[in-house]
Amino acid sequence: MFWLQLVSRFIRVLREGDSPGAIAGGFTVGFIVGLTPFLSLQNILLILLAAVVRLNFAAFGLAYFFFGFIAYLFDPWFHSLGLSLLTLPSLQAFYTRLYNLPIAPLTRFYNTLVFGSTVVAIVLAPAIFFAAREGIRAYRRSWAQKFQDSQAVRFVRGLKIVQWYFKVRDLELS
Amino acid sequence: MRKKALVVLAIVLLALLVYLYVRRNALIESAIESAGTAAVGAKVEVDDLSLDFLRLRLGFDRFQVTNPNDTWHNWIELGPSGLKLEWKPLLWNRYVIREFYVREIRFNSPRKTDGAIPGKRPKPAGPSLTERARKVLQAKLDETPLPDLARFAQRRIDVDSLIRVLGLTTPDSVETLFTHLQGTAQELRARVVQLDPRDELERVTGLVQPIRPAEIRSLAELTDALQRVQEARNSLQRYRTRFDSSRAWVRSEIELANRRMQRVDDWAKADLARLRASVGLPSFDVAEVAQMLFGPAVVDRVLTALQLVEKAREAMPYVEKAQAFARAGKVQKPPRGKGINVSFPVTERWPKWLVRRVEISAVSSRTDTTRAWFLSGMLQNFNSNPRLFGKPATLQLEGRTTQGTRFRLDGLLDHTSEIVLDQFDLQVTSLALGEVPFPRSRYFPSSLQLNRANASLQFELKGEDLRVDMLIRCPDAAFLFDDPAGDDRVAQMLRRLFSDIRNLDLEAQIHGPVDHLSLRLRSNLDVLLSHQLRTLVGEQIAQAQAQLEARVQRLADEQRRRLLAWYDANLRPVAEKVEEYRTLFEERDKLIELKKQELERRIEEEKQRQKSELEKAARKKAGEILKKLP
Repeated sequence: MFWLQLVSRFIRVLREGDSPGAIAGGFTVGFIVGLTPFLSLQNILLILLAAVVRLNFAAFGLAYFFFGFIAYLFDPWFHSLGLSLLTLPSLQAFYTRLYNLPIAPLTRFYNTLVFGSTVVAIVLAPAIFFAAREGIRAYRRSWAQKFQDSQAVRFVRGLKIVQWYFKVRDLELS
Repeated sequence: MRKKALVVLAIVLLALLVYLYVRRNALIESAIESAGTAAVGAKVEVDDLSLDFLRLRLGFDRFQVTNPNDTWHNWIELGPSGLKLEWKPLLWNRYVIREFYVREIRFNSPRKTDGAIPGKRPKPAGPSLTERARKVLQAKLDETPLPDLARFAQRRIDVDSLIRVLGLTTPDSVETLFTHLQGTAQELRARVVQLDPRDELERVTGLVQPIRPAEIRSLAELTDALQRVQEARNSLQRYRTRFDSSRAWVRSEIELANRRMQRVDDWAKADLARLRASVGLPSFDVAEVAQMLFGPAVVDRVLTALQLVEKAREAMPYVEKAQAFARAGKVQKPPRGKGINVSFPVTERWPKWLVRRVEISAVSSRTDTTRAWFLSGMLQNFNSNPRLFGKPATLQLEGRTTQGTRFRLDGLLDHTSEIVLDQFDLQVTSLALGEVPFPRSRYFPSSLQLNRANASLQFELKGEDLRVDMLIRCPDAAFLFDDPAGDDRVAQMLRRLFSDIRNLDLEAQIHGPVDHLSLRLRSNLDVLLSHQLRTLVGEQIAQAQAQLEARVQRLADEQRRRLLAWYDANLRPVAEKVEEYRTLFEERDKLIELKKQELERRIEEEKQRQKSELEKAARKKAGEILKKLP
């Protein structure tokens, strides 16, 4: 139910509602939080940010779950990247300074997985944001109607579980 | 900005804070339990934890650490205790306990539930220090098992059939040696043929022999002869250098062959030891009795101490995991979703966790004070990164009972430098050690009861070098038997012997690198027991032993004689020939030296003669000149 609700909302906001920037922002924050281990100071701050600023929650949730799964697959690679970056001789002075600041250790930047995945997330975040924003614009401009009329969507809409979901949703609305 | 979202967020945050506050005790309890369980490898449990958030004080009613080797007992159990955290390090994600008060403490207390962790335990990278030490010490103990006296008391040992079944390896080893020696002898003989210097020596002799210094008259001829002698000498020297190097090789080969031949005795000894071990023949040597009886109990306790020290090393490593594998050049694979923490130098010298001071003023049982231990002491500077903290952890603990038993334990865990040092000194007075079990045997006691023992234990583990010295003096010891002696004469006599023993002095030493430990045990019973055991069941054993020794000795003698005969026939002539050649060289050397001296003497004489003739002629000429003067 939760999943159907999440996907349904996401498809709906793609078509109408929030601005493409807000949806892309929610998606990007979800991407960052999903890609990195959940328990860190920066993630908590990001979630607060997503709540306070006008970012789309459906996009955030979907991106969080999707990239959480991707992160699991890439876990060993993030660890290796984090390890090689954290042991770079030229950056030792910077890390040492950061390590000795109060609060900074609460970000767990010294953890190979946290650092590796965060670096990847930060590097890819702008690209994800712009790609998502442009994608939504393009979708609204020319693909939304085609998508709605497509056989795949008609098939999904025809599924019993989806029908049942719509009934429940409409009940909730009424 | 979303006003609604802000309100919702504030409500959520407030709810979260309320939840954390209400559930704080359970959450911290669970965190301590999971961290402790992961570190120990068996359940660590905290009961009724309470946190005073503002004062950063933490207390609990019970803290149990399961013994991972016996999960129905605790290593340690603390009663109501309290601790105080420092707030500043928390900002750096560090946990520093300023003071820890312990008021009730129990060791090896039974558990109500099994403390084992369900599921598979993670496999360690390699065998632990304790496992390595156990393997070495067990091998030492296996050399002196508690003998099954029934076998020797009731029947005769058939040495011949034993040798037939088990066989002796000495003849095979000698045959292999023979094959090797044959090759060496062939090579040596070929070399000796090449070494033959007689032709060269004849040539040299031919140069020197014809020279007759007495018959040479002119100085020029004499100088020429000396020149020829010198050339002959140089040639001889050249041959000699070549010969000497070959001779050295031949001699070293012969010496090596000799040494190999002497290994027959070692092979025979090994055969004897193997036969003795196969049949389980005890020697009852004075040096082995204490090891046979007390070895397993002593080793077991030392290994327990070693395991505790090893756990302390794991908890307080000199090098953190990440640095250790970076140093080893390995890429570590942590479990998914975990990663590893990399450490950086810190200006604030706080390790991840640090217990500055644990003050113990405790009793082991509040209900039964007659049997309780009253403990007082101090543990200091226990921490997760001793290298960073720079100070070793120390431990002083004293205990006493109302019955007058006392102990004092001083410990040092110095993990601040690369060679990690762990030291403990334990002194115990008037301690009832209880029953020390022995391996099960019909003839030997099932356990030893030590009432009022004085004991001392010095334990040092430096890097991987272990040094344990243990001394137990007990004036009130009793050997206990489970089963009655029955009609067995040997069992009855042994029982009488052990029943008379009241006084026990035991010394144990375990020294050396963990992989090459030496084990030595001595007790005041060694001579007595050795003598009595030999008297009781020694006849059959001695007979079998003597027969075995005689058989193996006879075999060794035969093989030795065979080898000596072969040596006399093959290698001795080679050695003698080489020495003969050496004599020839020396003879020629003497001859040349003689000729040289003779020629030099003749040259000197000739020079003198010519000089006097010249003087004579000069004087004559001068007289003639003087006569002609007016």
